Amino acid sequence: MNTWRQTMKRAKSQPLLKFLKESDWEESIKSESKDEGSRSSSSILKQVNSMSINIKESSKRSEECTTENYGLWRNEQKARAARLEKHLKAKWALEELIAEQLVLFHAHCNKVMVPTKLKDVARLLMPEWVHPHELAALSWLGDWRPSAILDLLRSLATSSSSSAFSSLSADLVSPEGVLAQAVKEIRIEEAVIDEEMAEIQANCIMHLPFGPVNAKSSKMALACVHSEFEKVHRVITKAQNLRAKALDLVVEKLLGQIDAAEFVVVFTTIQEMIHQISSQQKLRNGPVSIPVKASGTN
Amino acid sequence: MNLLSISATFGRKKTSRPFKDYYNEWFNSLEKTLLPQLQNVMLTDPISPSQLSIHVTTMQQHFQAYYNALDVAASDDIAQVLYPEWRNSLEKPFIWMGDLHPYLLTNLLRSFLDVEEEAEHYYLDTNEHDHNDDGGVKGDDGEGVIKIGKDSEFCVRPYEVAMAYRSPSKTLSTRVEQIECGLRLMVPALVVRARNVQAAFVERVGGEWEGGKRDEAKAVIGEAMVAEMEELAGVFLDANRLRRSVFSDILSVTNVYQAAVFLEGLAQFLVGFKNITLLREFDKRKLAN
Repeated sequence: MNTWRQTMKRAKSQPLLKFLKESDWEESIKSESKDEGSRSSSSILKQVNSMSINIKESSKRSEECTTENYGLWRNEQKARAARLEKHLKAKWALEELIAEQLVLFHAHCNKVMVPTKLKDVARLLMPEWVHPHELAALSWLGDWRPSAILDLLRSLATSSSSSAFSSLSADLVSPEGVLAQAVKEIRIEEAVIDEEMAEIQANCIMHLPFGPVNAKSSKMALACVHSEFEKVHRVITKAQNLRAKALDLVVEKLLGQIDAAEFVVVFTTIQEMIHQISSQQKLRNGPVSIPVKASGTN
Repeated sequence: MNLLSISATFGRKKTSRPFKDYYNEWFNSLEKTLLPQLQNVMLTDPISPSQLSIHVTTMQQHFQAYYNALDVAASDDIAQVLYPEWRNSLEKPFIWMGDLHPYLLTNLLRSFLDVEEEAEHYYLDTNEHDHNDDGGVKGDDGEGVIKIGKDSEFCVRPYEVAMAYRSPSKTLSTRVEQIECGLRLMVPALVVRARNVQAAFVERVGGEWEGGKRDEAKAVIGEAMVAEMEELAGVFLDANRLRRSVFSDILSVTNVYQAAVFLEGLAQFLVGFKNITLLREFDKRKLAN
């Protein structure tokens, strides 16, 4: 349960980050997308098409070719093929990396976080491997607040200091755009889930076996606790589904593949930094304390 | 950690103590001293209202002292107060803004009022069935209700305690409704504020994000987190103020017997979370079985 975070940050995101920085494909893809107004695989398709046309046409004219021309032509073809291969490799590698990242997100949201014991429900809400500052900064029922995921994309896209998502359409990021609308809707769903959780927390005094109206034998007592924890778990599951929905919306529906990858990298990097800052904070602060004079009990 | 912060930590720790230790001590004195003392007085027949009043006040101050200490702790480290590591796995899911949900306090009070109401209905119903044509029985209340609660501990208690919530005054019912009404306005507002604080944090981080410049980015996040924690502390203080005011409102609208029953119920509830036998079973219990 506690491995997804580490795996995602160190093993998986690092290669992608490195890859984004080190390989030169990014530049060429960017310039292509400027030339052709497209970030999809259409540029590669065009190269393949033009190559096969060249092959057909040149086979007709092959008798006219001199040895020198033929050599030039072959070199050009080789260079084209090499460039093409590089693009393809980069594309496959990128697709694979993006897919890996997205699989990790989904695994986290859907599969990995399945609790087996009652006490695991508490660990979903306050995981001991996440520092309190990180939880306070971002957490809602155990993990990133769904609407905050969309808030992050919106602020990245409208940021003046980052050019990462500057190509996103105004329809998407304007104050009345698709993203703002999605934030509104997700917030409504969050509020509904908040209400459900509040209801459990408010009424637990009626249902838990040590409340004044529900005193039970010890066997029955555990059954009461069990039923309350099932309720809490159902709410957490709803929260996880909403989180998964918000992430899906960003990485699968709103953004193209490259932007989605970029978002995942930024998202993961921010989370990793918050994690580092929180652990430093915890070391520096130590356990929360109160002055001795304020702590006298009656 | 540099020298300055080491000495700061050192200096601070000499005059302060971990909240966890405070809480454990607070809890022990609730469980081992204050609750048994209150229950003893509640069992004494004839009951001494002045004795009971002293114990009710002591218990009330004990809770107030805890809420105050929680405020002080929040100014030291709000994150640890919002996600208290000193609470066990049975308690954690029921923690809202660092402690019990304020609705829980009004629901506890309601539970006494409603039980009495149900008992009254039951009494009237059974009497209507048994004595269909005898209208005089309805006026003879009291005895029938005690019979219903024969197996409960309320029977062996002095009349004033056992009947504390019997026929509550109109003022009490109205005041409870007013308190609940206030909560319905305040709680969602606090939840929205907490959400907005997180949204503002994310927006600040995203807005100042410059891809690739790790050190700058980390500094931005660090500053944004400090600001966020301050905001969260403000939200927490208001939430805790609300909790505290609901608590003292309830005690100001109830009479001494009602207050005693309420405080006993609250203390027993808190103590119940730490029942060793239950916790042992709880730890082993699978979620799906």
